[in-house]
Amino acid sequence: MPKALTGIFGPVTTTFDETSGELASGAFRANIKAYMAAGLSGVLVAGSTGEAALLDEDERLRLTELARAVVPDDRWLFVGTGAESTRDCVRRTKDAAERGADAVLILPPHYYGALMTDDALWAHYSRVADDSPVPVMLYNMPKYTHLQLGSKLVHALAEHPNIFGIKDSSGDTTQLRAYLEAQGDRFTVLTGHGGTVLDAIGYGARGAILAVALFAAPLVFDLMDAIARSDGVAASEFQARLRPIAKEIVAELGPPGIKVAMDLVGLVGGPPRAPLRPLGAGERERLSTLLGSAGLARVA
Amino acid sequence: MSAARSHLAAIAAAPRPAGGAAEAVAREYCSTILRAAGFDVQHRELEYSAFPGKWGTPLFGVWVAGLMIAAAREGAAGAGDRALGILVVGAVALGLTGRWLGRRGVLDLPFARARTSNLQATRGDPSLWLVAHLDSKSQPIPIVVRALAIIASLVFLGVAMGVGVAQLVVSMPPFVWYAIAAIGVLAAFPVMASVVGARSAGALDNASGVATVLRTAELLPREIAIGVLITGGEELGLAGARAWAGQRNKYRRSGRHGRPSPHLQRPASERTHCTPR
Repeated sequence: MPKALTGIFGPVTTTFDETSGELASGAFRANIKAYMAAGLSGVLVAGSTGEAALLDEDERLRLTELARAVVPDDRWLFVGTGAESTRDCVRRTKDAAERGADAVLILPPHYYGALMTDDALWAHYSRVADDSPVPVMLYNMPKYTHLQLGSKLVHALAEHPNIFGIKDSSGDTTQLRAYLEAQGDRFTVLTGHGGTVLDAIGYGARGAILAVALFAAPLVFDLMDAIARSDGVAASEFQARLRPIAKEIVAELGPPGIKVAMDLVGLVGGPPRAPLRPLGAGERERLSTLLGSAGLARVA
Repeated sequence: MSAARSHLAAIAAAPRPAGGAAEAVAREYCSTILRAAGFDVQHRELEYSAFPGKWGTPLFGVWVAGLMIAAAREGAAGAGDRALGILVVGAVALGLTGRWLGRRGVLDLPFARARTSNLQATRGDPSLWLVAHLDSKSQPIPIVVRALAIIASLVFLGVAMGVGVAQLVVSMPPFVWYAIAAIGVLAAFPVMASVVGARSAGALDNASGVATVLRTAELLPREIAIGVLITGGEELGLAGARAWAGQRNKYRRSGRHGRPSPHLQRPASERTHCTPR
């Protein structure tokens, strides 16, 4: 029976050794086991939160293998395989599939900016999807790519038999609603924006890939439960608690902040990889206060 | 798509029964638009009783029909005085109960308690407020039919009282009472069936009003101080508006002068959250 593409997914961080800066495999596995025990529907390896842009090719492969060993078959293992060239993207996608990825999440190529027209992106995604052994999920992340996947392009790509969804991290619910018009039996819309989960799920998104769930999973599940039982007041309250930590920790501090938050709730965050900088003392204190305000345990 | 139409589509994306997730989603949408327009946005929870709003109208119909039947039994048996007594006492009780339910019951009745929120947004220190309600409802009986049925019920109640008075001085054949009761009960049927449902997305009532308020708030120059109040629970006895207005009235009665500061406007039954911008 195929797995349902619903629920909350964690775009896991990549753990690095404090001194050598190499992959810290044990911590990586331990974090994923904790997320599985918490009830996440799956994980995304080598996403934006996983510092994918800073990883070596062999590290991506190793992370996929490590994750597959601890993600049960009934949960999803997504791997981020976006690349600037179509050729590289196809290769990364095939490599990920060989190592056990259930699906791939593909950031659009964006270095050439305005040259990445709808036609260019359609050809890129179609070619990757043609050659991919596993289903392809589109990824709208304008904050990092500086381009927005247009709804016409997404609707056209949704017709491809091997493109099965989109993760929208824009936080623009008007854009999300336009994507949702393409949602059906074969195409699923997930949100990737912690500040608008209530809106996104309310408008019909089937789930969320949320960095904020990496350190605040109970709060995200409380929100999802409130939406499921249609308790609007509770849902608003949980979203209100989620919004500042999603904005200030995930959106503003990025992977270094997310990692400190993970450390504070008892998981293993560890250092970011250069050129990303570790948080300063003031930022750590602010982050700790934010977690406390959101009702999340502080394990300082 | 124009901005106003886009607002309408976002708000009327789904039925928004008071207190439900869809109402909260639409409120989030309004909050996002208003924050982007420079407003300080607060969500204020409130508690109320859903009983008057949900069951008040059907019970009105049941009560009127019951009065007509009880009065007709007495009148047809020749006891016009007792029929008149039933009708007068029943009508007075109906009026007093309706008045109390309308004024206090929505917020104070201790059963069928429910929660929703008002959205209050301010830009500057407002003396002008734009107000619209967010929740929606469906109803099996069209509003025109319901209004006509309520009017007809009251008219036949009056006619029955007239017959009762007449019977004090002249003999009245039983069929007169039976006919009045039958017509009165028939008129009350649509009222009895007017139970609030949750199947309408309420594009007209009142997503159109909310969209208008949002677009107006966006277009008004930022130097104009205005407030926006998007109430919840309107379809269940004006709950949100009652909670908000009740607190402002309490403030005025306290004899303070000048414009109340925001913290003094907060109803005791409301709890504020969702302040981060």
